Amino acid sequence: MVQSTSARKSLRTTLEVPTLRKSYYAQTLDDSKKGKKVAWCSNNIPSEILDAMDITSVFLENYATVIASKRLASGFCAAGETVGFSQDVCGYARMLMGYVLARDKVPEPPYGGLAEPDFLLVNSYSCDSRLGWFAAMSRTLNVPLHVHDAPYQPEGPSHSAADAEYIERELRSLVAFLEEQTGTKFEPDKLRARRAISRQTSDIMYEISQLRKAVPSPMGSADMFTAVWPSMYLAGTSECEEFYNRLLAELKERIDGQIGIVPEEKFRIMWSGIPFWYDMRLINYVEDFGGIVALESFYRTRERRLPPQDDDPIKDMALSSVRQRAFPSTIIASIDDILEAVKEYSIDGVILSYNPSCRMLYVSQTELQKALEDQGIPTLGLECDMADERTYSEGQVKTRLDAFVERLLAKA
Amino acid sequence: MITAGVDIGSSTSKAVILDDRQILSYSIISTSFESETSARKAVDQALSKVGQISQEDIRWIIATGYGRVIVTFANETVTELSCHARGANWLFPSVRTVLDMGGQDCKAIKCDDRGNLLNFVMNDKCAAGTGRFLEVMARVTELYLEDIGEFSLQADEVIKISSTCAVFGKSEVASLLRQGKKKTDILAGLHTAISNRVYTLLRRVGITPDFAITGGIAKNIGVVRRLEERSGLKVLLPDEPQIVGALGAALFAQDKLSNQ
Amino acid sequence: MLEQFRQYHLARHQNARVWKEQSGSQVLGTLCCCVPEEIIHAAGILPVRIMGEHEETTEADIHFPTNLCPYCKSCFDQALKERYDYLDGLVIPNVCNMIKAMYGFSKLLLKTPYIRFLEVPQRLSDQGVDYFTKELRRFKESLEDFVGKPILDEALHHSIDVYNESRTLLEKVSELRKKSPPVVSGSEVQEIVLSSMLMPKEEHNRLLAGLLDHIEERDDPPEAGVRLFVSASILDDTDLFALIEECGGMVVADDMPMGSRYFFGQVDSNSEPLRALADRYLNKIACPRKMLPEERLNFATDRMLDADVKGTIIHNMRACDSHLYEYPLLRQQLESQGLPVLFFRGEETETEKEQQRADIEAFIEMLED
Repeated sequence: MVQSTSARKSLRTTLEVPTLRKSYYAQTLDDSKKGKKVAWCSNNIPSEILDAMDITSVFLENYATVIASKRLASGFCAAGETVGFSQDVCGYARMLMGYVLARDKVPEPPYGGLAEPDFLLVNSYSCDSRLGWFAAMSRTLNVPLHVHDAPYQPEGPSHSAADAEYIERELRSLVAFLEEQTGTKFEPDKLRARRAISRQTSDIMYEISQLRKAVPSPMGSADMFTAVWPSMYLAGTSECEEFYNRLLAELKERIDGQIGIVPEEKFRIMWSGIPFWYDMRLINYVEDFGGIVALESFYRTRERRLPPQDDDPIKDMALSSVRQRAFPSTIIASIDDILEAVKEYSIDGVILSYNPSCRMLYVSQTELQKALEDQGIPTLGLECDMADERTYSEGQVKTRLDAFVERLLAKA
Repeated sequence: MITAGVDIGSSTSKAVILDDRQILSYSIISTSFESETSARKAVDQALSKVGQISQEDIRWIIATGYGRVIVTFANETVTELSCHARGANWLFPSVRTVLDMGGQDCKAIKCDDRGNLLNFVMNDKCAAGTGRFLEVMARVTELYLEDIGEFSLQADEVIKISSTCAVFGKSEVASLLRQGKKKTDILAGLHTAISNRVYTLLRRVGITPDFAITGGIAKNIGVVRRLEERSGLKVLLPDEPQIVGALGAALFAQDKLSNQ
Repeated sequence: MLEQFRQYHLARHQNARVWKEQSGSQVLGTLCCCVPEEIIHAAGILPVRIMGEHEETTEADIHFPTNLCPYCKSCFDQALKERYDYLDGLVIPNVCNMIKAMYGFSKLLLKTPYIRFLEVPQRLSDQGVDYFTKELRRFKESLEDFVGKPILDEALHHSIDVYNESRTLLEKVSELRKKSPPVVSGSEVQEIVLSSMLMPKEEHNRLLAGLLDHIEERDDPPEAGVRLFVSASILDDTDLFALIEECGGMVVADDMPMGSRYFFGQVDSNSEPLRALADRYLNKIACPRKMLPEERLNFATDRMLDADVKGTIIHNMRACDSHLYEYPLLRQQLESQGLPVLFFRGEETETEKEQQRADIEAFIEMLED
């Protein structure tokens, strides 16, 4: 029995994503057959550079969400556990370690599996898990690993020349590693062109973020959790830019026509943290009560790219990277950020996901919840792993959601 | 006006029948596999205690608890969080904080002067403060669940126990038993550990007097005493703490009818 | 004499308060072994390593979810209970998820006046040393602002010498536990190492040098036990080492951030001081957060083989990601070399010791066969 776990989407543009994703994975397998170099990457590895050097990138966290959304994670996680990665380990990593080390024990992998890697690329600053996970894969697969580092910048955007210079040199090291692996020379012109597209796309995404403030909501998180995909995995391509142009047009159309997601919008919710990929229908759950999950903590573009484009594309990337942080890093910044979002997006209540295996986000949730309640904003904490559905109790989660809705409706 | 509230919990099902604002009768039975059957049995049993009236006389039925959505004969459902707040506040109008300790869940609930749900915090995956945890511990110490609270108060010393997780707690207790520690002292340690964990939930929701405990574990005097010590507050205990959710549901049903 | 180290560690809060009062200077808390204490020392400040307690957490539970590194949570709980109220500052480096998070939480919830985040490159490279050198300069400048006077180069050179001497002495005493039979026990060495992270360095050096002068003639040498290695993510007391000895084992070498990683490798006293510090603190500490597994595992395994041990105890704090990923690989590598492994998941609770006892006894019995 196939059970649909994906969220119900309302925008026609979002519906293009599954096709894009499928053809992206098919393309990676095809590229590999044709002898193109394949890199397994963590998020925040700049795919524009790889693309400019004709290297095929495969982003493992994304593949992990694909597995999880098909409710196959438990099989993959269990395989990862048999090779010694405990349940304390990030659900994504456990799955992929299962895939890498115990392939005979995992279920049939989605999209026909992954193209085998020639090398691995990981960023060191998002979390400890990624680094440990990629290092372990590099050792067990016997494939080279390059670590890309950057300052942590807990205070947010930095104007320090030392920080920018360090990232720039790190990016040049990445390029040097790729040149060595592929035997081809990096051409700045190719990257410059992609950077220009990335910048334009980022402006469009900023505009989309602004439009999502409208009441009734023109686009909820049920759509955004999917619609964000091209920006993460097709960055710097015209395909990506065109997608967001169409999405922007559709949002404008909905706002002009006052078309919301639910017939009569009674309350608006924000989702903080990673959703539970094996039951994305949960995002739609409040819609039956006139509610809408109108915003998620991740995919809000907070500002336009600041510095003007530098002629040297690597320098340009470095400057953009230090001057702009996608997520706030300290708890103080996170509290400010969520309170600001609640205000700007007319949010009535916040659902916070507690994923114990994603320590980086998990650690802040209690204090965020406290800060919101102190401001009189109702909250609900839900503790489940983001990928491993064995930890999920649907009945318990829905009881909590029902009580939360009762609280919001009583307040409305 | 006769209404009923039926609360289908993970281990027990409860029903309360109200005539206006007066409790006519109630029942508590074990939850079987089928929530619907349990619900019907609970209501039938409560009805049988009254005589004269039958199910047709019940003007409105509200179901609550885990199994609430499966109770097809109910007119409406409300979550147990709202019901416990309403029920406890009706029994003790001064109550603003309710701790509901049931079979699977432990909830700290805040309500206003009319028993409206203001906020709640629930236990995480950890089973501390739930009936399930105490059941496991009763089994490991080979005692009856009903007795362990009383036993824990007869301790000479309180043995330190750190794990309130059912899995780790079990092995910790087993190892203490192997070392020849007294059951009463181990139980004192366990009850202290649970109370400490539960107290954290209360602090998170913000504990405002008066304070009542509902749910099956309210019958465990060991937990109640230690929570009183820890919070420095007198705990208000309903005569029958298990039916507070069902009572709240029946009260919501009364509200419904009087609003019509 | 050994008792002095232990006593200092036990009464560390009181000792720091007394030092502060007598010196009229400041005390700064540090987390992790990658903070170059020499700079703090050169500013006339006493650096002390933050440690937790095997004690139930209460205050931290209001601010943090349950399933987090028990060590960090315990440290924060201690801070919220005002046990560290004498601290004038905190230096929190870019190491692991939890310690990074502690920076923001400290700023939000603690009253400590000076709280500084220290950027630490997470990869070994030339640009990393360059960058870390610049970051150390920024750190030095911020300390100068904090104490209101410049840190002179001579002071920095002097501090480097004092710390190099300390590392040499610690290395010496830790070598003595490797002897057969051992001259000092594993837990004694650990007391000395922990106290060195708390006591003024000059005083510690003096005491330790004095101890080393006579230690070979001691009349109460420890009993030789089954030789063991301990690899741990973080151990902030000597309980595990003492327990191992009670069960008939002896820790003769270790790989831990609050152990040998603290004193491994010297600072080149002939180079420009900040660059020399950057070089030692980046390149000579074998931390799984920075070193790639090939290098890391070989480093750890070599140390075990060198110490001629019969087995290894791996102790990882629950939810310590860096070590969680390394553990299966390390275990596999050790077992393939014929070194048996016993694994513990650390909880920082009051009762974990008793639970570990049975496992250690069984492990040692197995090794003796």
